[in-house]
Amino acid sequence: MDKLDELENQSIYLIREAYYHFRKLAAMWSIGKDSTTLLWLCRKAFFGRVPFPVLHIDTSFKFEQIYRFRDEYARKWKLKLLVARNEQALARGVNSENNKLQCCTELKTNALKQAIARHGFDGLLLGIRRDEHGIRAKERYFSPRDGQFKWNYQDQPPELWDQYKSRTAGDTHIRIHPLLHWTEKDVWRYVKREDIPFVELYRARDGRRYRSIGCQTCCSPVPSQAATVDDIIAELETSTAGEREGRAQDKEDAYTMQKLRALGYM
Amino acid sequence: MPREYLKFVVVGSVDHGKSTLIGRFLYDTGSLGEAQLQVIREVCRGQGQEVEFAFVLDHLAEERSKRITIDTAQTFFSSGTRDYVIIDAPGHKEFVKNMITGASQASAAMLLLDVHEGLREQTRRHAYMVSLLGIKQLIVVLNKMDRVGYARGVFEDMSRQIGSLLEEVRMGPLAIIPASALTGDNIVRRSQQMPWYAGPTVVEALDLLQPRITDESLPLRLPVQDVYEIEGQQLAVGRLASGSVSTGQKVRICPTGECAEVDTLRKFEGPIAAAAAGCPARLRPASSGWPRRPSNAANGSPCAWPPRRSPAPSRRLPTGWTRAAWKCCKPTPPSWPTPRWRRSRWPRNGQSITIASPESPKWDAWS
Ligand SMILES: Nc1nc2c(ncn2[C@@H]2O[C@H](COP(=O)(O)OP(=O)(O)O)[C@@H](O)[C@H]2O)c(=O)[nH]1
Ligand SMILES: [Mg+2]
Repeated sequence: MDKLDELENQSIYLIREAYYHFRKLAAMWSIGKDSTTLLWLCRKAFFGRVPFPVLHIDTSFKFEQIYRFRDEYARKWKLKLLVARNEQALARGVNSENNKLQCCTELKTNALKQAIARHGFDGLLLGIRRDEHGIRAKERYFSPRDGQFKWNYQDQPPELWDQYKSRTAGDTHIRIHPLLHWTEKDVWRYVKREDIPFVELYRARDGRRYRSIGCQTCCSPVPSQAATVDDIIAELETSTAGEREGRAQDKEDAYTMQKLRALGYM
Repeated sequence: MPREYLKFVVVGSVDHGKSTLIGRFLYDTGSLGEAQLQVIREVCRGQGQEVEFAFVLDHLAEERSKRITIDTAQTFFSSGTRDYVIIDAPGHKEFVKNMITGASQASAAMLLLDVHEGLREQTRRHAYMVSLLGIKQLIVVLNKMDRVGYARGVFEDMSRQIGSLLEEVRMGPLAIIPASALTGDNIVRRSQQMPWYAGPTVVEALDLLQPRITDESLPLRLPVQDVYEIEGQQLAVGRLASGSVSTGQKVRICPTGECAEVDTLRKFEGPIAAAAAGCPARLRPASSGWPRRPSNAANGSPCAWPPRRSPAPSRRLPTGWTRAAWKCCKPTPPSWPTPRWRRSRWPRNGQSITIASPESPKWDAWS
């Protein structure tokens, strides 16, 4: 079987498992290529309709293109879109300028906490991948989070074959990672094969493009000439630069990502 | 061009060099980015030590300060035609649960042995676990040859010892490679120190591994994941565990034993599939074969964790998924739930339901 088919099969299996197991499931949509691919797979898993809400954590600092793309495809794909913003923190003027760790924690992690409290989600689908970051390489497909949202990376549940963790008493919710086994290249090959739409920021303009998109304040473009999906795939064939090299929050120190993730960051 | 896809796990006792070997391997094949290396160099300098290749995989702060692997990690490597997933497993006894988590997803294993230290309890345990999990393909790396002066005698002695251990767990290695993860001898670069060794290097040995062994002759098992009703049509969704299914095929629904006929097989019918309706490229015609599940573990490898749904021939190496709508020969079996699109909970009373070939044996053993 073709590798992409195999990756897709596994992801669809996981999405359906999640849908079967959780009463209140939502998919997290950052509007980036991975979570958009996740939604694409959700649509496939359920014959073109996503039967649960799609949650966008909005820091208010996202690129304009991201908001436009979000609204366009939420309409086209008939998504039940929920937008979560930590309004109190925004009112207090939290931003990335003085403290990135705090900014991410307030505007992403805490916004998510508020959304979960409001909607009572017990399962969240996320489009993270193992090859994005060394710390994500340690993740499970079904990954529990406790009351403080802590990721207990020192004692993760075993995960054997297709047997996954469902809820136990101490968990507030379980994160399900249907794309965990995909690489960046796989995603782009799949985007090409399926003709999945994506935000224009990924295409090179004036010799630069974004490999990873998030907040305008913390993402910078990398030098690139790749303007088409084919170019992007070709570029990835030869490059060994890290995908998140344009991401400020990964750079602060070697363990910022670990700290963020332990606190409930995506 | 379809790419081959192969997952292997690196196992062996603690400190025998598993993480170092993977880091070295990635480094020597040019798979690491400069920024990634830079971070590792800085961390090592900060800890006042030499550059540690193990840190490519050992990413947790605790792993780096204690210099052990706590949790399993996966990394990716591409050769000309293949994409590999390399699974690092922790060697400590306390972390066997994490080791098994990693190993259960692999279709091959690489067993490491520190020739200076010799066989350890964990070497035995890991070899046993690998065999228990049904992994059939194994490469042995006799590591840290630099510490024994690259002596042929040590290599031969260790080969004998590991050979008899593997015999006990009924595994035959595809290769036994003398190597040094630290210096890179026989990892990617052929060693000048061991001219007496003519076998493959670690990177060459990967070519000996078979990506996936598929067997179409296995009986049909389609564990039903869920039932959706879409536009009035009942659809059982699930992933084909083994065998094949085609429209019109007689099947049996377990555990009730009801007989049914497959009415339709469907894949996603979104805009893309609909466009291809006349020539269903993505909708594989049943006759030419739905995705099949390999026979790797189908030969009765022990399964210590009873599968939740059904004892398909194998819980390992899942492949295809499909969905089937069916017409029952008899009235719908009473135990068959009435699906709604958004069913709350599909009551199965703890029972798993599987669509199987009619001649499938031993139904009672399934419930
Ligand atoms: N001399 C020598 N030391 C090695 C070799 N491979 C690994 N080591 C060292 O052995 C220690 C344990 O290695 P590590 O990869 O963490 O072992 P693991 O527990 O199996 O993952 C580290 O200090 C390595 O530098 C080798 O081939 N030769
Ligand atoms: Mg290790």
